[in-house]
Amino acid sequence: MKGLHTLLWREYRSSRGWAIGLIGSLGLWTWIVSMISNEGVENRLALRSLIITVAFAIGVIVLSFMVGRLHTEIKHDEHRTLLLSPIPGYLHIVSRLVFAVGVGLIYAIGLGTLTWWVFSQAGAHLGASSIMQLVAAFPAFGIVTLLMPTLAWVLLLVLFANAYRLSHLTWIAVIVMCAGTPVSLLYRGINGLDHHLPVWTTAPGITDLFNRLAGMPTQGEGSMLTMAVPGVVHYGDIVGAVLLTGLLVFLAARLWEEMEG
Amino acid sequence: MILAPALLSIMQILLLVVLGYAEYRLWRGTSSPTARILSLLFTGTIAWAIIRPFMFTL
Repeated sequence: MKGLHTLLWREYRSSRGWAIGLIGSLGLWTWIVSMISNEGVENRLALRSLIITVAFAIGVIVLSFMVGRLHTEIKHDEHRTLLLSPIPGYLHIVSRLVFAVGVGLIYAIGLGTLTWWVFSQAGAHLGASSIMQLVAAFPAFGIVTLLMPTLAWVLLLVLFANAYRLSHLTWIAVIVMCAGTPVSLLYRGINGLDHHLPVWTTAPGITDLFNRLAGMPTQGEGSMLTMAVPGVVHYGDIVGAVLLTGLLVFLAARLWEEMEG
Repeated sequence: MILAPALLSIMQILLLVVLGYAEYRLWRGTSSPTARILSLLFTGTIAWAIIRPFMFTL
């Protein structure tokens, strides 16, 4: 683990521009969301929620490009600069993943805070549990289930393509991996755990807002009744995503050690 | 059950041939065992997606 700090510092030095740019874009999203003044609470909430979802998707894409720069670094042997002693391959992969996931988490928490503001503007009476769910739990869930496997897949893609650099077959490797990644099969298999795990429930304040907008009776913030969201948000997704990320990181680390180690 | 190649359309046979050639090049193009296994897995998945509809119709 000794080299991890060095690699994280190095990652910070090379990627801080991307990180600051992404986190700084939260200001732009806040401005865009605050400028929306459609008629009707439902329309405003729907449009603002859509913009926040788009912002999250753009964040995932930007972070994917950020970790994908590993391709250029390997090409120019930049990663060897500070590393006079051999460092295990998985530390190279983990350091990049940890830094990008950390930046993504800050970004997602920022978007979660923006969602809190949007919900407050829609008239939701949010208590501590609802706020925590919007600001911390949902962003963390999005990071674990979506960002982590995506970034691990990008790192594996870069290293898989790099394995064919000398034979100039990089593009064939990229096409084959993009077309043939059996991620969906693996994920669906692991996701079978869903049926044996408890469902996620939204906090009362959020549930009440949706009930009110749908014209259903509300339960009040003090109520312990919550709305289950079966088939949408499951703890099984978290288990599946973590296992999938672990597998992708393991394969990427093996490739690193075989090609660069 | 024997898969009758005649039932595969020309386009699909061509795709399988291209895929086979790509796998051959990828296998020969690296010395990394993990990359070879991965390329086999990926091309195998694509080949299975091409062949699978015919497995159920036979």
